Amino acid sequence: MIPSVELLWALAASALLIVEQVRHRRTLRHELRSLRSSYDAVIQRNEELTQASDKMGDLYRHQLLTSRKRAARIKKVLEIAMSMNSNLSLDKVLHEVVHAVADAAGFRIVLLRVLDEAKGVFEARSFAGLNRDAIRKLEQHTIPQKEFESWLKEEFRISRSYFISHERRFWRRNEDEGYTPDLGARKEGEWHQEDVLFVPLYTRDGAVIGYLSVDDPIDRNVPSKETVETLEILATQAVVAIQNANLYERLNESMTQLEVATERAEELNDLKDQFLSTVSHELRTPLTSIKAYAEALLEHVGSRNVDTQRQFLGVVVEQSQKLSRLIEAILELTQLESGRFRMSREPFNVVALAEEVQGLLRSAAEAKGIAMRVEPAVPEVVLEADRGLVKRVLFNLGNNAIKFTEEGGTVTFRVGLRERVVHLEVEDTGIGIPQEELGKIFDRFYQVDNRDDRIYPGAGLGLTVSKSIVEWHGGEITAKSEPGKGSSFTVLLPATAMEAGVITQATYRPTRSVSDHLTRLTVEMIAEVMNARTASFMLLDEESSELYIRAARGLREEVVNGTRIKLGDSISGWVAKHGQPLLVTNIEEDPRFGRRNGHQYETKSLLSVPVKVQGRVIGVININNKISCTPFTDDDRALLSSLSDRVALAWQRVSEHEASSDRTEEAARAITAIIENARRSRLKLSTGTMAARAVALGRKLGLSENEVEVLAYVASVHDVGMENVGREILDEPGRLDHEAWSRVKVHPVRSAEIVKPIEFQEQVTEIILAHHERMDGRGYPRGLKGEQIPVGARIIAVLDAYESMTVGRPYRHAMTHTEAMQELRRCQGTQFDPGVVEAFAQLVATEGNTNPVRAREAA
Amino acid sequence: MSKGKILVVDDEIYIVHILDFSLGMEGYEVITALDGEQALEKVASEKPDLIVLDIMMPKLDGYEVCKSIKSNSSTQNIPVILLSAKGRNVDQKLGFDVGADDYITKPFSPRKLVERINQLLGQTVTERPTPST
Repeated sequence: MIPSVELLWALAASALLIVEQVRHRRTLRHELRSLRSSYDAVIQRNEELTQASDKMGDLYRHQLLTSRKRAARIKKVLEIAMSMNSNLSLDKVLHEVVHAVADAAGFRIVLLRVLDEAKGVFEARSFAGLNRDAIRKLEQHTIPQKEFESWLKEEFRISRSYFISHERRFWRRNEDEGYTPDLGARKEGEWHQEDVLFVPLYTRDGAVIGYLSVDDPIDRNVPSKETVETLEILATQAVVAIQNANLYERLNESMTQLEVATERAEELNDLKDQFLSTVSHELRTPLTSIKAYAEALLEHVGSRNVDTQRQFLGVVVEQSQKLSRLIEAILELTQLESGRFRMSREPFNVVALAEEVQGLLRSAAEAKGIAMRVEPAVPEVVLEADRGLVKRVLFNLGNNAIKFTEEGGTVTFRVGLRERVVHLEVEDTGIGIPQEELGKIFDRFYQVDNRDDRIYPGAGLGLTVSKSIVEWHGGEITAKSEPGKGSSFTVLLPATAMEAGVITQATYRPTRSVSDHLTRLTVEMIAEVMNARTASFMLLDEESSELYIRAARGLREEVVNGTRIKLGDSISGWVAKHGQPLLVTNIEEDPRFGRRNGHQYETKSLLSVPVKVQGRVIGVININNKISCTPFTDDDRALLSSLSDRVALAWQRVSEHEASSDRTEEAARAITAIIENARRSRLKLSTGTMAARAVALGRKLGLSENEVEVLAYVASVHDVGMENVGREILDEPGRLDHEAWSRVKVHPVRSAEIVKPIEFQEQVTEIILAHHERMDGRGYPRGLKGEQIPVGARIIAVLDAYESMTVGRPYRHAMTHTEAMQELRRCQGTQFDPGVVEAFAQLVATEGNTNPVRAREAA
Repeated sequence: MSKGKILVVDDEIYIVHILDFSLGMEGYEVITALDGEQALEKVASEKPDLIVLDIMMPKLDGYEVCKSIKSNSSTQNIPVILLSAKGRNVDQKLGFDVGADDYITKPFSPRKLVERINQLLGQTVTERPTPST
């Protein structure tokens, strides 16, 4: 069968249709697919948008909440700062500020430091987010003002604060245990553990009175400018609070001062009233006589009784003189006390002055039947002072003595010179002064009989004037008395203005166990032996754990009275705390104390040693400003440590025997002898080298550190007994006769006796005793031989011989260095220890021209 | 004939002398004391007609002496003139409080003192209940 054409067409058409349909379907599917994906994309975006919108909403809400919270917090701080008044302590306000910073600005750790202006350091005052241990550590650690200011570099500044990123941090952190410096990978702008943000607390005039240090932000982000500004607003509140508190404190202080001043003014007013009433009474008494007698004379001018008239005129003249003396005394005192006084120092003989004063007082003494004498220790004592003023002092004391002595008594003037201090004593056999009154007698117009009787008229100005004069000269006046037996007044005046090196005693003294005299001598000894212009003796006040200056040479009075150093603080505090000496050759370069050099020190070198009694630190001795202007050395340290041990011993002995003045006397004598010895040896050429050489030789010969210290000390004191031998012998030309020689021979024994009261090491005594022994046994005082002589003594013998040979005496030329060395060599084995001579030769060889004897020889 | 017996009390010997002289010239008999205790003894033993009394004196001051005289019936009528360098009003008031009849401040004029004494003695004579003479 043949398919019909129609069918074929139909088939073809169908096929086409199918193909078409298929194609169409394909297109449709494709379209559908793309539509789907578009739809998905839209949905996704929609979702994204919704999410974003939610997120925004959350953020917005969060921001709003945070802002509200912050606003509330800030408001609170503002309110507190505004309400800052007397009832609110500074610490409370600072606490609020710090917690506001933590909450409102979002930092977990906040520290606020406040400047202690007096000390020049920032002290940690308030904290947030720190545990007790951390707080304690921060409190112990202060930041010096200058150090902090050096951190505030312009490159770190944000607004008025400073952000120092860990990357640019320029100091090393003390790494605490368990401290992890790196927290791993961080995002850009994330806060690093070691980042620091400081917000200085500026006053209105730009001074920094403290700062906030913040750490560990809650958002973990490096602070934005806005955060910093929030912090600064809070900081301003802290400033207001601190200033208010300071003002309040100052106000309180002023109030107290005002109260004290008022009280004082009232007292002064009473005193003034009393003064005026006394003055007016004292002035009226002679005036009354003058007026009465003059008037009587006038009335009876025609009377023929010439004798009566002469007698009356005599009274008028005498009373006029009394009146003018009184007026003079008042004027003098006013001048002295107002400080408008001009003093002229000149050297004069005090013995002659005492005799002159005795002459002035003779008639008054004779009128009362009192014997008067001058007892000078030597015929001439030269004092460099204002002669007129010293005369006034002697006159006043003599006049008083006569006034308070009954008929038949004696008034004695004694004049002496000890340790370059002129001693003037006026002693009487009068009525004496009750013990409880002794402290007041130098007060103006004070008279023991003020309370009841006025047997002894006088303005009561003499002693006050005298005291002012003596103090003007850098001296002191004291009184001793036994009622019924008599009184004695002692005036101590530095012989020359230069020697005086004024020693200031503190007014503060919680314990009274050691006398002013001994303290003064101690400071003087330290300064003299160590060749230091400045020396201070600090004691530890156990109650407050603070060091205070008991006495000092070369420091201003306000420094002496105003210095308080906490145990552990600063240099002396460190020395007291650790019981270790501290030698600083250049304080500015010493990493331990960078830039803490007090302005009172001229040189940068200082030496500080503890004073220990039975292992316990009782104080600290400090020296600065070596006279030679060179830094202190380890030799000085060795010497000062030995001196300090002796001071401690003297202190201990004296305070154990409070009642006994013998101990004080003994110690004072020993110390005085050491001072004199130091001054004598300063006059020699080889100033200060003896102790240094002793230390060097000791070390060279392998002595222990303790033995070396002993040697340094002995080198400074071994000849203290020499003065007792008598200057005249040492200065006398020609050979010593037998008698003089035997006196010279005992000087080691004398020396040992003198230092004994402050000695605890037998070694010291042994060395002093044996330093004139000879190797061949022909020395003195005991004739020891070779090894029997302590090695220290053999060292001192060589040093001493070299020194005396090169210094020379009036009767013998000074040898040159070479000659002296030849002499030492010649005598080695017989007189000197050859080993010591050899070591000495080596030592001197290294000194070169720093050795003055060699320098002289070279020239 | 003496115009009367006057006790002069002062620890300043010159004052005692000049009063002795001035009052003597005026015709008075003068007895003296150098301190308060001595003054009271003399008052008892000598029965003076008037007392010139210093205040600041050893042992017993003028106020005490005056008080003692004025509280004793046998001596209370003796006029007392306080003579003192204490010139303040309070001092004067205290003087009158202890019964002094007058208060003269040092330095004083002997002439004026004599006038006051004359006056006081004249007055007291008229004021005294005079028995028949």
